[in-house]
Amino acid sequence: MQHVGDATPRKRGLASLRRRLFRAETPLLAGTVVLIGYLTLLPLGYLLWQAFFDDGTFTLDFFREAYAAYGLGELAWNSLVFAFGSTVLAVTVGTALAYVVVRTDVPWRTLLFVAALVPLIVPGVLYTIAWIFLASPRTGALNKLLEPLFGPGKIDVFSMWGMILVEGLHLAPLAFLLMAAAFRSMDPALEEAAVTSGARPLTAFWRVTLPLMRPALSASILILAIRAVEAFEVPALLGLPDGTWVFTSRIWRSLGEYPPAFGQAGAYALSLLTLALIGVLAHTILSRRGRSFQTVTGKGFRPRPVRLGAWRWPALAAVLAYVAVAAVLPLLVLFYVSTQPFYSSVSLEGLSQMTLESYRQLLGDEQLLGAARNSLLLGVGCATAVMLSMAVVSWLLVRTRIRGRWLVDGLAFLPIAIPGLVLGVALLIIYLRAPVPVYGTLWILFIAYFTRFMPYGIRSSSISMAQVGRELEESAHVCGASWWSTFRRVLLPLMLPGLVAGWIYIMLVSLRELSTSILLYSPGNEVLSIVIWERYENGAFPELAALGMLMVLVTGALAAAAYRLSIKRGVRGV
Amino acid sequence: MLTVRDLVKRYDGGKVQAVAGVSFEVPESQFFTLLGPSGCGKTTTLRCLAGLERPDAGEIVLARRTLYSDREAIDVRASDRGVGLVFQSYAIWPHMNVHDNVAFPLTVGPRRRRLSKREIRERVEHVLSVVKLDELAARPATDLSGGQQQRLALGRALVMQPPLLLLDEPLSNLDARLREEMRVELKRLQRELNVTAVYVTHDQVEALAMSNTIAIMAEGRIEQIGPPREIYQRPASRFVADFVGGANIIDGVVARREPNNVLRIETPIGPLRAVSTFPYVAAARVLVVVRPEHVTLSANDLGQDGGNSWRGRVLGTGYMGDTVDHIVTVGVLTLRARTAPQASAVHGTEVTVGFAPADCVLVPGDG
Repeated sequence: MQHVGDATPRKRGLASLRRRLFRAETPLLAGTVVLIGYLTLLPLGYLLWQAFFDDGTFTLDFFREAYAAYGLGELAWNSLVFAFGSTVLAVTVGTALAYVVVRTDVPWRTLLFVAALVPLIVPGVLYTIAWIFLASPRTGALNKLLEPLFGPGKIDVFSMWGMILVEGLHLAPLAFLLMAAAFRSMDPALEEAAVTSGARPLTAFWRVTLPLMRPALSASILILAIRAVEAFEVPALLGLPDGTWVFTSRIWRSLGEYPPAFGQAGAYALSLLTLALIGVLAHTILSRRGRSFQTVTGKGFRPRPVRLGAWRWPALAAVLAYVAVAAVLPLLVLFYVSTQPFYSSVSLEGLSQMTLESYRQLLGDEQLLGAARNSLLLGVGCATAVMLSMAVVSWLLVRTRIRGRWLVDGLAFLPIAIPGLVLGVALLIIYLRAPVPVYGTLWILFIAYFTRFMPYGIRSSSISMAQVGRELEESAHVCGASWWSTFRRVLLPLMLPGLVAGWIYIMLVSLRELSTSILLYSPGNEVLSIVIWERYENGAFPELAALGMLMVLVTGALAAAAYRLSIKRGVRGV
Repeated sequence: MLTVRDLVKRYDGGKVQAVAGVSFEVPESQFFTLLGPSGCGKTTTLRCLAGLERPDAGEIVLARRTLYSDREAIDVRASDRGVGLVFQSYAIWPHMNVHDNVAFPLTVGPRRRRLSKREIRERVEHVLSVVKLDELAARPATDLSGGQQQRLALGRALVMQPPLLLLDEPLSNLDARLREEMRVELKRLQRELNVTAVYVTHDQVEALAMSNTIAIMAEGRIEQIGPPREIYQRPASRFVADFVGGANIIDGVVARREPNNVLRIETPIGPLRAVSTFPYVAAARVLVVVRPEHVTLSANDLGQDGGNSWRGRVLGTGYMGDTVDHIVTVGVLTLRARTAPQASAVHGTEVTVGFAPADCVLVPGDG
């Protein structure tokens, strides 16, 4: 009885404390929820409306038109073949790389880890163009090099195979990161138990390691497949000349016509969105079931590499060969082209006329300087806005027991399933007609970037929030601090490393962004990736290459900073 | 049966010596324990035996077959050694059921030595009944409780009928009651199957209860090898005395020899008498080791106790149920005393502290 007497006033004290806190935080939270709902639901709603309604009446004409012009069957087939092919390539390469680099005693492991990530810092548009320089049938450097052996134009990057190769190589580092994390978190004793049971390393790999990796593998496959389905740069640059259409390139084309066919674009966009949503849904279900495998991990262990013995050097050679093809060759050809006075294929003659003229020209280019300023503004502004607002939202998700939290979580995470082009289409439809003067300014890009990168923000801040003990916050409340000053003076500083890592990552992806920007930019509001795209269309290759080299330097530095921060926190963001 | 000679294992390019010249021998069907604090090199030694770690020097011979020798450049692969290993984390494969976990070792060896399907099934069934998991053969391995996973790991290690069974802290992840149960079970299985076992633990109770022979390890070296009784009653160094059973250790200098193997020793709390057959000379530095359960407390004034008694004050007590632990200050020293509850003293009181000369163990002093 004594206990009851003790507990009741204490409980009442806590409840009133909680009630007092709520009064302060409710408007802030309500505001955030409305903002997120506006950003994610409005575009989707407009998209549906645009695709199914013509002047207020329900119609399926847009779908009919869209698929009359180009068969749904073939479009879906191309999209799937492309996504499937590049996913298989990326996951196979990424998994093999991850195993060798993380779990074996291959020489120079740290160096290889970093090298394997290099394609990740090259923006997609640049990576694709670099491969055009390398493997276009007529002027590609590789074709020139191999001509004496096999005859002209044997490698054709403008084909389904070329698309799969380039997209697969560009996605491989992502598969590598996902699988490396999975290999790292596996208790090596599981493999060692197989070896002491009499299994040779290869048997142990097939019968123990690989089956254990199955949840991680299927997750990686789905994530990559979604990325490949919504990829824009590769299909647009490599598929168009060849007439290999996929959903993304089709959307872009139907908006490039005059007058823009919004209804058709909406119809394509909805189809693509459906595909992406199916993938995300499958991933969510799988990752929920996959947890049953993780029961044995988490106990303290020192990872010990598998001894490759005689295979150490062949394994190193294989990894280096991959790095050469996926990272060194594209960067080398970009550098070469950037030093040429005018574009020509790689030749000895070219080496003698190397010049830094293109770099000098960049500095005097008004359009380019404007684009650089825009990219910087958007990157910094968007990263800051996303991280700050998502820090507040993650507090709501992690710390409170408010009903309907899952809805906020889902809404903030939903854009991960919206392909960049689809979001672009939706925003275009909204703001072309909206009475607010957003279209034709940088603000429309800001809104787009904010929406697209919200999921990254919510994830990295939720993780950092979960790492800060609840009692640190409670003790501040008990000391008399208000909700806002607790948030500002206790939580934010403690979450800072995680928030900064997320900030840098969003900065990085903002710089790379092309597929949304290409629908929403207007003259004077270009960003750097758009400038590269335009220069490619105009054939200004050396300038484009020089700009690309500078961008890679910047994104490389950002990625290195993010990586360092995430190592310190023991979390690896993707 | 198993001979380990001058085993050395270095880490970080030779900077850290995890195992610094370890030698021991384990006769057939004996239970041998490597006991020591974490980081003493016991697990590394075990992993060298299993072939998971490549030693830098030394020799490992199992049943006249050299598994490792730096001189002869022999290093048999882990998969070819045929020893059973039970991991601390059990390392149960979560993607297989109970039966498949145990059957695995029988299905991966060289083809010519493989058993038929029927033989495999019989062997697995037999082993599962030995570890009392026969009812659960079709269960997913992840559905098992901690104790069951433990038995499964044991079954998997035994199914090959290995000449040597290695166990790496197998009980450390179990709760206290289950641990005691498994301790008895493990010892019973080892004796029944007559398998030679090398057991690694940091828990002295496990080591004392299960082993035929214990090797105490510290900083990569073996401090003392012997049967449990000898280790406990005749520790050979300060480390062993302290690590096994937390003895009272009093620094002293031999003053003179008295009849009946009694030595008179000068200590910081005055002279005391200890029995020792070792020919210590006068002025030799020694450590006097006294187990807490040999220290008596009484409210009376100074008694006889062969002269080993002092006045002290009880600083703290800890009631353990069957015994009471006391912290007692005697002059500049703090001693631990463990008594029956009815013989315990009250916190803060003055007591007479004593121990018999025959209960003192002398260890050569440091330096």
